[in-house]
Amino acid sequence: MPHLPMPDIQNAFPDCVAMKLHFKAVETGELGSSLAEDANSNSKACPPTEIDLSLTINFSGQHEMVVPGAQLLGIANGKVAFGVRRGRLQLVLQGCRMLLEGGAASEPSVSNGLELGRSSMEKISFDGLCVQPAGSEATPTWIFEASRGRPILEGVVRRFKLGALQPNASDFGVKAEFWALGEDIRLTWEQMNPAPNVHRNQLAVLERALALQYIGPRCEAGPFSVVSWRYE
Amino acid sequence: MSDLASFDELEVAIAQVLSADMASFFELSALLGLDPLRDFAGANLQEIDLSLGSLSQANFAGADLFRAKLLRAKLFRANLSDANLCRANLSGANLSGAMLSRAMLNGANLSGANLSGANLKNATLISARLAHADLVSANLNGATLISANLVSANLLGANLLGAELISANLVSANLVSVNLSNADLSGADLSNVTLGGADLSNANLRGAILKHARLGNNVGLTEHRTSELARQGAIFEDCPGLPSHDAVKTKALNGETYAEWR
Repeated sequence: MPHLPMPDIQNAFPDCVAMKLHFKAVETGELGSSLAEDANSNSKACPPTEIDLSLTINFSGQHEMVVPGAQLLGIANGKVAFGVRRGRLQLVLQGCRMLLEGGAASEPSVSNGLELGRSSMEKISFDGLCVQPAGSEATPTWIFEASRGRPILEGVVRRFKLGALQPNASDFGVKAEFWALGEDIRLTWEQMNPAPNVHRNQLAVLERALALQYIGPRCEAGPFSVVSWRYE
Repeated sequence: MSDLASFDELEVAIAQVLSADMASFFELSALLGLDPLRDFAGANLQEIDLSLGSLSQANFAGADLFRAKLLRAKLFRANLSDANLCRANLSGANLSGAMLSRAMLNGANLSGANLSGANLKNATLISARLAHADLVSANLNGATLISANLVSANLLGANLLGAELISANLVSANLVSVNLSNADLSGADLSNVTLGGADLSNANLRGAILKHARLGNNVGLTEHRTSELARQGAIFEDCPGLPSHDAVKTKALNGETYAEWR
């Protein structure tokens, strides 16, 4: 049984975006999961030649932040809730390459039954969101976007297969980062009760100013979510 | 715009907005340092009132404009791709040359709107109201216009390749030189339309009403289909004065409208 290092997971806005990665050796069986408590073996076996990498990611519009003007809008606790309508998952590879999922003979790999169809590098549709593979095998990237008519990304995508890692060094790893821009932040007003006498035009420009000038710059300072994993 | 604002600065600006005795989108945006033409792509603009607004070349791509009021707004060459404009009121708006690809316009009111040269590729316009709209040279390739009201609309030279016009009301519409190849017009009302020079290759006209519809110089009509359409009420006549597709394209490229050169 190979030594399984535990990944480091940092979700800066967990009620907006939270993710984890799953790793599975193709030939030698289950290598481990980012959440698994199976890192108690100290014996290092032969390094795997290929590792399947999959993603579980949870989106919601529940993250709260104290913002200016909230009290003036009649929001009692001074906090607004927000979500994102689009974001980018990017992998940084170290000591390995990645065969992207979606080529020939790929199979749907989402276990919650949400996946509706998948072929090559086409956009993949789920219930309420879609994923567009982008980037390359050197810089694998996926764009997550709310489906037409949906204001924000919401829901869980479970064990979405991203591809297979192929190590070319004994020390290798992967870092996954999820980024979103201020322009893609949406306040979720249904969680709040702004004063009823505020004109819709006032509310629209206030929401935009809060997203672009206050929440956005604070969110853009770093990734929403990071998972780092290293095999040594 | 994504400058980091301090809590206090923004609080002051928000107080000004909330105490302002006006609801002008432009003036309110200015109070907050926002550019109304650039800063609202992807924004939540549901039920906003932008009537009569000068929004030419504005970027509202991906914005949520559900039930927005845009009466007679100037949206010339605006970017509204992927926008949600369902049940929006755009009557009399100038959307000439606007980008509306994949936009959702279900139930929208576009009566009398100017959509000449607009790109509506793969847009959905189910039950949209387009009576008397100017759709000259518009690109409606793959658009969904099920049950849309296009009474007296001017679609001269428009591209409706593969469009779904099931049960649409096209009474008295100008469909001269329109590309309707692979379009689905089943159950549509085409009474009194002018279809001279239109490409009807593989168009589905099953159950369509063609009473007094004027056809001629059409592409994609076999003798058998011609007689079928005649039985459905169509009138076939020579239309020597009708412009060809190429002529329409040339005129559109020159920025001329049908009214200017017919």
